[in-house]
Amino acid sequence: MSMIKIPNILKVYSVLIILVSICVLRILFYKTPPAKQKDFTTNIVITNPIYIKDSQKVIDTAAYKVVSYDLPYCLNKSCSKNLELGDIVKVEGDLYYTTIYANKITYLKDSALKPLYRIKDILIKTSNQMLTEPYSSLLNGMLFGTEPVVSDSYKDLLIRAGVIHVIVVSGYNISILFTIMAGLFSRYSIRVKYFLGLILVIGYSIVVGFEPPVLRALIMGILAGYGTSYGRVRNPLYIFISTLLLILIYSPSLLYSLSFQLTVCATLGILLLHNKFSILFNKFLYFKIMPNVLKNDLISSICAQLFVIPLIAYYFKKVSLVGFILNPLILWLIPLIMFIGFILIVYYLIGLNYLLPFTVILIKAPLLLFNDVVTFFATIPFGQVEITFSIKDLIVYYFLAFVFVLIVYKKVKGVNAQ
Amino acid sequence: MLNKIDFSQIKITSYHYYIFIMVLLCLYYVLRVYYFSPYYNKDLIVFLSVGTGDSILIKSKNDILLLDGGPSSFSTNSIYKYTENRKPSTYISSHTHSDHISGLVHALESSTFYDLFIPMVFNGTFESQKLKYTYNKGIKSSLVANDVLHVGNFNIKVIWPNSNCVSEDYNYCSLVLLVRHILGQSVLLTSDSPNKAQKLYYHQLNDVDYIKVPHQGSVYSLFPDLLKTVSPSNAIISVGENTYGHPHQKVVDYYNNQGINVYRTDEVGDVVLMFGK
Repeated sequence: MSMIKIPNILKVYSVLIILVSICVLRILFYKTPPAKQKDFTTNIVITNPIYIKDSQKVIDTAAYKVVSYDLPYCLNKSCSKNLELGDIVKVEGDLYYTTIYANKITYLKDSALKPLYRIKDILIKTSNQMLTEPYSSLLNGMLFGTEPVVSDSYKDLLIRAGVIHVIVVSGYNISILFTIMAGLFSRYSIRVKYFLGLILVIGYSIVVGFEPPVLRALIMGILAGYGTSYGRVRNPLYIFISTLLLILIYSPSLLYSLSFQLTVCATLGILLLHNKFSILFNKFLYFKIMPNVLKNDLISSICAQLFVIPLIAYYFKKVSLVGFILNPLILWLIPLIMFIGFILIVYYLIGLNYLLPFTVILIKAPLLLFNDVVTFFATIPFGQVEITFSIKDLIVYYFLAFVFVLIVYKKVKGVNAQ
Repeated sequence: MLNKIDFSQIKITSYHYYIFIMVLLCLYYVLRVYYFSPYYNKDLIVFLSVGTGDSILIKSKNDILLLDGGPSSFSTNSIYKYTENRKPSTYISSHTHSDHISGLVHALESSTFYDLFIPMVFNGTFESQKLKYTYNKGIKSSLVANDVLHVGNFNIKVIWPNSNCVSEDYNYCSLVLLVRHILGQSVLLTSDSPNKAQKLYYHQLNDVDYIKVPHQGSVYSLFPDLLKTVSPSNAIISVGENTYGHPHQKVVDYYNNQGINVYRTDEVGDVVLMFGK
């Protein structure tokens, strides 16, 4: 009996159908946790440095934000230890969506990944000592995804300018890390490169906390890297859909998370439109002479914003218009800042701090430019407009968006060389 | 010599671009921070808009002093635009209430070389204990009446507390400083000093140009005899949104009736006093 050869595309579709079915079942049988609950108790791992806001102590983690009026602090060895990164603590208090107003916080034990968090703690402290605020917060946000220790007005400014995604951990950080890793291990074979990169990126994801965008970028990176290193043809769209399904099977509650919805929409926009927009835009002379870095950032930004804007309008009723221009203008600075920042932190850590006044300008200068440009754009009148979207509007918008994508695919032929 | 260079042989690589960009960025930094800064090389006292709480920056020449740090870890973030991104060399905590030391603790954690002056008494809060931990690391001292500090062109005299000051009310022993600039202008920094403490030290004072209104304008810190003695022409209230009712209307009215200009940090933002030329 001759073997029936199943076409690859059928294999892909059958895998997707199986994943979709599991995902639908998982969501249908998933019991949503309460949004508000008195006397709520949970165990959390401290993944970010504790900070104080208006005399309240705040512990920020991927799952919850814990707010408390007092925390235990010990000066002598007779009492239990002080709280630090990587500790598992028991939090008792009232839950309000994802914020716990804690009455009592008790140390339980060290998490298994404590050594990794220790490294993160040392690097953050070094960065804080090396730089002044808000630069250290910006750098820590870009490098380690820590909640920026900045005032609400400064955070508002970043939101108005449409660049908050840069300093909270996002898929962008992971993609930069993958790129830097690929560059550093370029001499090795593709499989060695993949596995070395994988270990580092997984370590990084643990340290920054598995926020939905990180999880999304990490799984996509793993699947895409695996495909490449084993010579399989990769279709980013299939990888993306599989990633989403895997994440939702693991945690269906993420379907209602804004962070997850945003990362899905932004990635979908880039995957669907980036290639075609590149071909389209390259027909313009001004665009042809633009440096590639700016060109890519501009197209990615437009594609992502097209799919993200209605969601932002639905949740926040405000949309940053300057974000369209600002993102391509400054995104090229981020890999530069991350790279120089990390090198200087290590440089400072190994005791070369006496040279610091001369070298630290290398990181302060791009951070100052980032800060100044963002401040300038955020203060432009009408930079942020008020738009209200209902669920119905959202459905209509996304329907039209997909029609637009189909038209673009029909009209714009060819594949961009990049 | 120039004829020997074959320009066609020079290739511009991406490294050249990066070096060129970095040079431009550094140039931008130097111009922006030093040349275009209105505060460069100026003698300043800045009352930072930190919400309800205190944080005061004193800068002159190469010396930078931070008195208290406001109620949040990020309260002192804005000092660096006045200091050309330099960190303070001296930190002072007036007393251990959270609205004065939360930002100070964060600033201290991110500093390496500094002098620290701490209060004589500590309460048991998280931030107070953290400050005490810094003190345990060995860099310490407490200021008492008649001590004198020099910050560039500023001369700072400690008015209160006495060396034997003890009270269950932490505000009672909070630090009161008289800052005098070399050109003669003076500022009285009263922290959260209550009127029962003011009664004990007001007679040591003379006229001042500016006063920081004690305890965000609390009615329990209003002591008319102090104001009559120092007769300031300007007063600064460091306050933000709060549930305590600070500043009390009676206090604001009293200052206005005395013909004193009142500047509130919640209304005008940071209050910057510039001294000298």
